[in-house]
Amino acid sequence: MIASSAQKRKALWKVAWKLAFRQIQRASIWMNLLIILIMILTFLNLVVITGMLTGLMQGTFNDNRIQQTGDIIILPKTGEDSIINTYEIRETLTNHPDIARFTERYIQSVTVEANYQTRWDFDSLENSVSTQLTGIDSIKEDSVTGLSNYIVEGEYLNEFESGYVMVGSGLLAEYNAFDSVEDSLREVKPGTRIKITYTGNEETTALGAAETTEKETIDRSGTSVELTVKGIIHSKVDELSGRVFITESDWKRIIGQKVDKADEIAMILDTDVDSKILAQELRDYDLAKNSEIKTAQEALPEFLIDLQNTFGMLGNFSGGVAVVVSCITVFVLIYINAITKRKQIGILKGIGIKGKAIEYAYIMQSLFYAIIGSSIGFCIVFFMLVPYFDAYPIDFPFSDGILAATVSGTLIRASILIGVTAIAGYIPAWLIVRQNTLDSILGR
Amino acid sequence: METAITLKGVTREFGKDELLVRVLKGVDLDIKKGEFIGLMGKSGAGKSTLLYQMSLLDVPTAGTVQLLGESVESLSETERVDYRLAHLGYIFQDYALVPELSAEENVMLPLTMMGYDDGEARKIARSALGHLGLDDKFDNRPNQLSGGQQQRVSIARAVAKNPEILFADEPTANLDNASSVDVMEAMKLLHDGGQTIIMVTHEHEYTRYCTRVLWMEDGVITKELEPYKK
Repeated sequence: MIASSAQKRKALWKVAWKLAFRQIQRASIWMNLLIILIMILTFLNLVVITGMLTGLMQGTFNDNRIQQTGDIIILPKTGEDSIINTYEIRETLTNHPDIARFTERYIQSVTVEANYQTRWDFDSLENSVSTQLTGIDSIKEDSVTGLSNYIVEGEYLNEFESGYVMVGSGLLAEYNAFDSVEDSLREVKPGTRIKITYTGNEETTALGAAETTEKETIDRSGTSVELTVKGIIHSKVDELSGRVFITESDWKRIIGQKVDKADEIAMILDTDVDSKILAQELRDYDLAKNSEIKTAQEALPEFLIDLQNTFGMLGNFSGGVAVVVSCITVFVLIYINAITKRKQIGILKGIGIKGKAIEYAYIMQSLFYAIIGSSIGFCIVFFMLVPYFDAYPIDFPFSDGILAATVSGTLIRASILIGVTAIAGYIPAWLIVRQNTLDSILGR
Repeated sequence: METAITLKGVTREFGKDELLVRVLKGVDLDIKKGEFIGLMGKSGAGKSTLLYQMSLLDVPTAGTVQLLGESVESLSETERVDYRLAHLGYIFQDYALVPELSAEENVMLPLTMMGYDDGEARKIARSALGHLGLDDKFDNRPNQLSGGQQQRVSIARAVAKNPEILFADEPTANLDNASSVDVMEAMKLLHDGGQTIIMVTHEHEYTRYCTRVLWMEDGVITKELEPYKK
């Protein structure tokens, strides 16, 4: 029979398939399960370790986005105290079809003192901390960041009440076991009266005025007001746990500022709107001339970005080690398999079976184990581990650690593992097949 | 009659210098198509080594080998594999079947490699196994067959592709008497059909199936023996 080159290639693959299929089928079930288990563990090592490291930072990013920045946040331009063109931005955001909702925040540096009524001895330690007083529209803020969800004691601010504040747990000694008492307020609970003293200058303009309006600077340093703690907010995001919140109406009343220049504007976009594209669009509207428009990712604190990069590198390194280990494991397994079948390989060549067909058979076996192991690992990751860690995140000081694994990223890792495994299966087969046929048959 | 194999001054050496061992010492031989050659000799005489030179499993140190009128010493390893697949059949002493494959699949394997589709290959394999009395063993794996049956599967695998020359390296060495006779009868049938066969054997009794018996001693063919007669 004279076969064409296409027929020869087809024949090569058919023989390889037959050899590979039967070798897997007839192998010990326990050996097959062991190899598949090794591949599953390798896959999990590759995806989960990296995913956990990335997930720590992903959790931080998610918390920041959900609780603080929203999808996009607008901040004062560098060198400015506040967002000068707040009015213009507010108008644009209100009318933009892709922006679901937004909230403005007004921030003032203050000192908060508690239990000052019972501090008779002025030589004793003052029960106070420096922080930022943040004026919010409690309804809008809740719609953007779900702030009311983080109340752990007391109640959320009511927009129509006056004289109340919410205090971040980061300021309270009860919630900061490792901080020194000098850095925290002691014995503060809902109902506690606290004294807030302004420590910075505030610049004001008339309500709704354009940025061209003449500016007026009022020095309020040393001015104090007494307010009642209504609720305690607990979060791993510093901007929440480290601030004191009052309503926007109280802000206007107490600070005396007519609300026209916000310090932060956080917004939530409609589903499926790309925050990067919309942020650029807002910049293109010329809104960025007096403000900085940042996506949630861009607004992450510098140290978190550094941590994210470091953890990413560690994850890649760990993944790389996992791939090398799996490569060596498969190499050893296939090499042992091939070396024990050296005589058979020689005989196959002796009866005219091409070396390539034998090599392909070993590659197919490696691929089988890698694909089955990766597929099971994939199911474990996406149907067990990701839902589990979403429901029960790992409790880290600065975030809730989740398992960050995307389908596309995991498929890429699986492809790498499968590719490397195929090579690891091919090399030992090639080493054995290339040996002299007669030496293989005679075991020389 | 056409020549199947021509050997001229075939020498095979192993090792170097003082460790040099010359196993074949300039063997000259002509084998015609349709012959059934029995190759005999004491252990270490060089019978198997000579068979390896003729069957392209080994390369001689010196001398020329012509198979079917074609000089083959310069073929590459890959070309030798192709040549063996296309023209030669091989029966090993220890059957050398693939343990994971059934009897039928073992026979089909070289046919598939040659490019036969599954249907054709299966038909030829079943026919070859049927001729050797293994009609009911198609699906049995080697470990489910006796030694004689395994050797007959090995013969079926070697002849199913209709090779021009069939090599057998002590095909009855591992078999009991009855199985050995079965195997030799099977080879006789093939020879009766015109198959060229070169068989290495220690058992003079089975040379009764041969047309010519060659005696080897110390790396050369020293004489021709009469085939065994009852």
